[in-house]
Amino acid sequence: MPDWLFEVSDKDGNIVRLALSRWEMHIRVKHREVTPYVEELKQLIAAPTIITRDSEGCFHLSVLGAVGGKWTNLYLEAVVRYEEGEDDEGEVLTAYFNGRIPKGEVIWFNRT
Amino acid sequence: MVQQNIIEEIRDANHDWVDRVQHEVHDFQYDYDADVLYVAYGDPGEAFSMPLDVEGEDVYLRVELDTHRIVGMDFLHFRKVFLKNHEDLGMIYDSLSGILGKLDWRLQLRLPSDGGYGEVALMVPGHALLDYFPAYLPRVAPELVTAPLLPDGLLYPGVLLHRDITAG
Repeated sequence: MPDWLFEVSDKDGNIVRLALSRWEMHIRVKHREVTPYVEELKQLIAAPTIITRDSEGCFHLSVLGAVGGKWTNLYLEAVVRYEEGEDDEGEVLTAYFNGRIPKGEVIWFNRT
Repeated sequence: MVQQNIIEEIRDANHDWVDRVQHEVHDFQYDYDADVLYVAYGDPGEAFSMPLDVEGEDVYLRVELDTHRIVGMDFLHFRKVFLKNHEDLGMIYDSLSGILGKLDWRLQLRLPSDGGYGEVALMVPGHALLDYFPAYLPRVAPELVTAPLLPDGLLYPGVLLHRDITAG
C-alpha cells in the first residue's frame, strides 16, 4: 500500500487520495507550479466548481481562481480516477492549472 | 479564464516552435499507473496547461506563464487512447515495451551540437519515436503554431534511456 500525500473526501463523501510517490516523482517535477498549493488541491476536491468526465471515465475537478495572484484567471484542476465498488475510492492522476474549462462531459456545476 | 486572444498570443510566441524544439533537451516522463506521458522541452518555468481541441484525445499544451512559449505537452490516457489512435507510434512503443516494462520511465534526448552522436544507451532504429511529438502540434493545432511540419525522414541520431529503478 503506497503512502499518501493526502486523503480527502470529495463532495459526495468518497475518499480521494494522492499517492506520495506520484506527487514527488511526477507532479512536482513536471508541474512544479502546483507544488505550493496542496491545501488548495484538497479544497478543490472537496468542493469543486465544475466536474467533467473524459472519454476514459476519469473525472476532472476544477475551481476557477482557486489560487490568486498570477493564477487568478486559471482553473486549478485535478484528474481523478475512481475505482468502482462499494466505496468508490478515487486517486488523483495528475494536477495542473488549466487555461480553459475542462474538456469532457459536464457532470456537475456549482452555480453558487 | 484565458481570453480568446491568448490563442493569438501563443501563436505569436511560437513562430519558431519547430526550430526551437530541435535544439532543446527533450524530456519524456511516463507515469505508468496513471497512464500519463509528460513531454517537456528545455527547462520550462511555471506553466499552465491548455487542452487541445482534438476529438477523442486528451492532450494538453504546456504554456509558459510569462512568455506564452509552448514548453511541453501532456498526454492523458497515453497507452489506452493516444497510442491506439497513432498506430505507427504505437508500433514503435510496443517494440520498446519489453525494455520499458510496466514501470514508470523517463527518457531524455540531447542532440549533440557537433552533428555526431551523444551519449547513447539505446538506439532507436528507423523512423525516430521522438520526432513524432514536435510534428504532432502543427498537425493538430495549426492555429497555435504556424511553423511548417517537420520534413519526412527527420531522424534523431540516438536516444539516452534511463530507467527509474525506484519506480513501481
